[in-house]
Amino acid sequence: MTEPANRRSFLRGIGACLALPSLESLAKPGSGTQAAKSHTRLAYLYFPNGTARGSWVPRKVGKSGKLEQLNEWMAPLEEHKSSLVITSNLWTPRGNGHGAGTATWLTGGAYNRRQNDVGGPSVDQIAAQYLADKSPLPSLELSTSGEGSFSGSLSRNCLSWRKRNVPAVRETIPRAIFDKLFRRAQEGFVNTSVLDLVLTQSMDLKRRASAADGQKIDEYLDSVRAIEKRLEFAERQSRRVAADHALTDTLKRPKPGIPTNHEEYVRQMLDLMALAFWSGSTRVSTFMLDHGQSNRYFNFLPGVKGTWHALSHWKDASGRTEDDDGTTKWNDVRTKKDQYNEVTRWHHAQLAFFLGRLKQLKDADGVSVLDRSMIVYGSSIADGHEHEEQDLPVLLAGGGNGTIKTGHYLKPRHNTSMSRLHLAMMQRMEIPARRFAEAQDALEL
Amino acid sequence: MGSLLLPTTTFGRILEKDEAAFLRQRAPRLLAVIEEAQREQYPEILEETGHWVETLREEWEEARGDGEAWAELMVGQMANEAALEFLTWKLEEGKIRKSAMESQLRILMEEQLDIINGIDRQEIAWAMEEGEDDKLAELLEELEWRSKNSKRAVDEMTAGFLRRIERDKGQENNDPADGIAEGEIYIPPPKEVKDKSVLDGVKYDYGRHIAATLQTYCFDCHDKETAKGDLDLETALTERPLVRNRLLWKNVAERVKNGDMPPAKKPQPGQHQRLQVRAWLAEEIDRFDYSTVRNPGYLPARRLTREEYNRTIRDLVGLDLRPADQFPMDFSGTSGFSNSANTLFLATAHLDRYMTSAEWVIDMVRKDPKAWSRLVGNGPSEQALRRFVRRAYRRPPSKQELSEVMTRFAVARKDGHSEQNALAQAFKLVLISPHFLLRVEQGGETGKDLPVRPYDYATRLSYFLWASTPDEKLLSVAATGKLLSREDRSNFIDAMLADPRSRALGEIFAGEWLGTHNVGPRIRKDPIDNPWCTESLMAAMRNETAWFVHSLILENAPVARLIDAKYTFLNSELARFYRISGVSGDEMQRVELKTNQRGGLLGNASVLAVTSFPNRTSPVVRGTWILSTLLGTPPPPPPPDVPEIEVEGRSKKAVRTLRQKLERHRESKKCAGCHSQIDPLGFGLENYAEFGQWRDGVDNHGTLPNGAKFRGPAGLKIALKKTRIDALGSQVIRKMLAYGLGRQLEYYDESVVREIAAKLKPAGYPMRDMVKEIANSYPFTTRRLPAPQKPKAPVKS
Repeated sequence: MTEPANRRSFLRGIGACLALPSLESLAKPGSGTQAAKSHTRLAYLYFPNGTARGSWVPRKVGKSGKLEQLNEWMAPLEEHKSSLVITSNLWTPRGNGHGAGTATWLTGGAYNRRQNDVGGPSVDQIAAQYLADKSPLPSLELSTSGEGSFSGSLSRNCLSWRKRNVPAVRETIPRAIFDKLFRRAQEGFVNTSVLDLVLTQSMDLKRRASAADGQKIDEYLDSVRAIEKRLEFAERQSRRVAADHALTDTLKRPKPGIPTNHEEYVRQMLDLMALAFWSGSTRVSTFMLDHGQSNRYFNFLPGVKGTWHALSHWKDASGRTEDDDGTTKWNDVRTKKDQYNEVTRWHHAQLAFFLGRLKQLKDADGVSVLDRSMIVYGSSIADGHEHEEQDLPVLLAGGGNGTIKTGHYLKPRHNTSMSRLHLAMMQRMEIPARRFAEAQDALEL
Repeated sequence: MGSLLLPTTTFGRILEKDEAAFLRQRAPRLLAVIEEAQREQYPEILEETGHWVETLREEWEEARGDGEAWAELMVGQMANEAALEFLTWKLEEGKIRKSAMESQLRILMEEQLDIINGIDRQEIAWAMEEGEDDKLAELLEELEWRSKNSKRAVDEMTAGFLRRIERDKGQENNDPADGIAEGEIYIPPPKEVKDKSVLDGVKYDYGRHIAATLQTYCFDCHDKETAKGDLDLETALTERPLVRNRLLWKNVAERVKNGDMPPAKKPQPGQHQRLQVRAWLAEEIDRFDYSTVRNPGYLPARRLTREEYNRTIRDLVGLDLRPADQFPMDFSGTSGFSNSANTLFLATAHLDRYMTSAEWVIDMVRKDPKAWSRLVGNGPSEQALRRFVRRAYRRPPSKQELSEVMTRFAVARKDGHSEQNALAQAFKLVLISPHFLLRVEQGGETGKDLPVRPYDYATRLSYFLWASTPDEKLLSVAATGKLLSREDRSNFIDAMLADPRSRALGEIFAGEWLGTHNVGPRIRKDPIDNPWCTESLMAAMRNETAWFVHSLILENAPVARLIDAKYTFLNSELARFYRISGVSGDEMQRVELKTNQRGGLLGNASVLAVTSFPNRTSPVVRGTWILSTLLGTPPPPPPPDVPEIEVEGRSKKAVRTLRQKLERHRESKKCAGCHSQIDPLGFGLENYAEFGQWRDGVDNHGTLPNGAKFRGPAGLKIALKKTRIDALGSQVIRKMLAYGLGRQLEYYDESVVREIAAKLKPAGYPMRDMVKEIANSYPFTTRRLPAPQKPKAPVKS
């Protein structure tokens, strides 16, 4: 089937089917919405398969932990080092690895596969639910489209959990995300009265259904309410867009489908995330740059061969382990490790691109969105070969609206739970939480 | 190895000068072997020389990256192993007396001990550098022990080596290649009937013996606190009956039997205590009386899956539009099927798509005059709406529900829309209604078993057999309540299976059970290097399996035919791929087979592809697939801390062929218990390359643990049919029940599985009868509301 061709007559989007704009024209102060004025934004960017031991340690750290020079593998982030806090010694005491580690990276719980239970909602979803009234989209969950045999695995694909056993559904298609952010209610059949009607229907249904079925019907109810709210916002948004030529000229819907060039794809997603933050559409977002245990090929990087997950098992270069594809082999362990690091470095470059965007975009008062944001970026595995859970590669970018001292290397005690970092994030989102998972006190940043 | 002696000049190649120099400096041990072989004229050994030297030099170059001292250890170890191999060979060939051999062996073992100590020292240095404290402690402990007890260590190593030789000699007579003659494909197991299990004579008392044994020997690591390897026996013991965790306890029994738990460094229970634990588990698990835990379970509300949504829309509007292909992915649930209710989440992203789809689908239908007039009919609009709502909601709508849709229509008319436009608006509304999108069953009481209501039953049946919505006929029968009698139901099921919609059983049930639905979307060949691997070929591979399983259901064939059949379904492209002539056209068609290369699931390219690595076959993966997926008797997971069998890693063991590599598994006691079950099955399929292409000249024989021997797929099929039909029958029932119910099975469902199995066993588990048994089964026909759950403690305070 082709993409439903006339969705625009249903819920009309804006602009023609072109690539996303360059954002420079949006960067001038005053373009942001009022709502977004001074609020802190929270994002989690996840990548799978870990990083080789040592590749997360800065080359030069000055007095009181000042970041003076990053290592060669983190070089793309060099220009942003004054906005970073690179951490060490963080770990997830109760879940690690490709499946459980991905599913519980943001919940701090243990993963029970049979019950499909991660111990509690994830930090981003708690934030989203708490701030639900403050922005049109409580949160935005993005992910690249999966590749390889683990792309159907629930635990490896679910980072955000609305409840301990209900994952949030992730968007993978740039255009669908754009429409979510910028389309407005139109003369299609869905309008407030239609939504009211199905809302009534579902409440009737709930009354008649068993208590056990209530949760499923609530999922439907919540979705209807979320759309209702979004349509309201879209009305306002579209009035604003109509009045602002800078926007009508530059905000273009992405082409349908998924770009074949992986870098273009990832950058479109990051652009959308930046736009969402800037426009005030949401204050909470997560992006899985790839799903757990991704077997994606990064052959487009010069000299890199084999799948990412196979590369992460860099200490075996024979090309004949269970993780290998059967054709690729490496001359020696070092070559393989370098290729693994190249893939990591490529991801850092995408992060650098994203941080650059957020720096360009300004809130109404001229402060950059980056200064107002907290971007946690990292993986649920330390060294991919060992499947280590200790000393996870995690960094934090952005000033958190003046609450974070950036530009330094943070070395808390050995085995400090990531839950303490999550708690620190929650508090900076002004959520009155005193605990998260087993953490009682927030990590000092 | 042959024993033909040849004149000196033709012995393997003479060592090059630099090779000799290398050996003298780095591996004098190997040089000594070569010199002896030359002196004594052992051509078999000299033939290997070149290979040995080459491997050693490669190793040297590779290991030098970590320093020359390390490389020396690595090379020294390999040379030592070569010398051991040589020594063993001399003994087998009678070229050395046992006593002389043993004293030479001791010398080699002393040397090996030095090397191992050297390796440990280096690893200790690295572990210190890297701060790997656990590893460090372990290494230090071992090194210390060996240094203090070096004589005892050498004794043990020597004795162990001799034992291994003895065992290998014993096994050699069992070697399948020797036991099965060329041209023979199957030799049944020796008639050795064990009347009584060794466990039968063992008496136990839980309170007196078992509890104390577990407490003493297991809880050190596997209590609630530590739960090493995620195994918490303390909690598992409280979950009664123990069959709640059937696989966990089976695994415990297996470990206790194999002796790999408790680990060697921990205090060991006595033989009798081991037997007591096993006898107790056999009683609690294997001989558990399932009739004491009868429970229909609960079918929770769920949304339609993507597959169901596509088919439902197709059957509602008469056009196969597949709008759900654009929906977010359904992840495979814990039942192994996408229709598992507990993983069918519904989020805003879904409702977004439902709304888009409703608009698009109805607009597409309007563009197709035939489809539109089918939907609208000839009567008044009200009638069309009533009919559509009834079909979409899968039951007659209540007055209120109908009036909601009618009002929508009336409002649109009042706003000036044409009658057709207003109808379309109302249809769209129906397609986003929760009554359409969610399957929510009615009625029921907590803790009380009541028959499922007729319309709900019709929906259950329809989504089981068609993965789609009940049609007009099914709804009218539901209205009469007739579906609830067994005979009427049986006739109805026959009629539903005869309908092409029932192919969903092949496409979804078989595809997701066997994993073959992944061929194409997830498992594929790189199309640039493999232009033959087209989308259409991969679709044909999926269809072969789907049509084949579907045909078995239609024909009420016994499950044995899943293993072996004289026909399959092909189109011209797949037939060409199989090198079968005389098939033309793109349509799948039934083809009678002339050879036994294909036929049965194990000859399906789809199955063979999903059980391979992208570019090579894996007997382990295939063997595991047969045991787990096909037969439902998964081997326990590998014991913890098993080193991966290294093929070309540092401590190179010069393992050359795949079989030799895997035989290393079976040499190790830790691995042997399972790999002696897994590997032979996989070897039986070695005639199929990684995408199922036929190939000759491969190592394809195997021996089952019961002693049956077979060669190639044909022999494997006989072996499976003769020995594993009951396992297969139960597994198909189990899988079909989970799919039919759309939920993961719970421990109490095993009672229904056993009941149905007992009924179907005499006829060889015929598959259409199986469908009917499931549709008639207690959980499928009964509804009992679960007790309200206590809300779980919130995570944040």
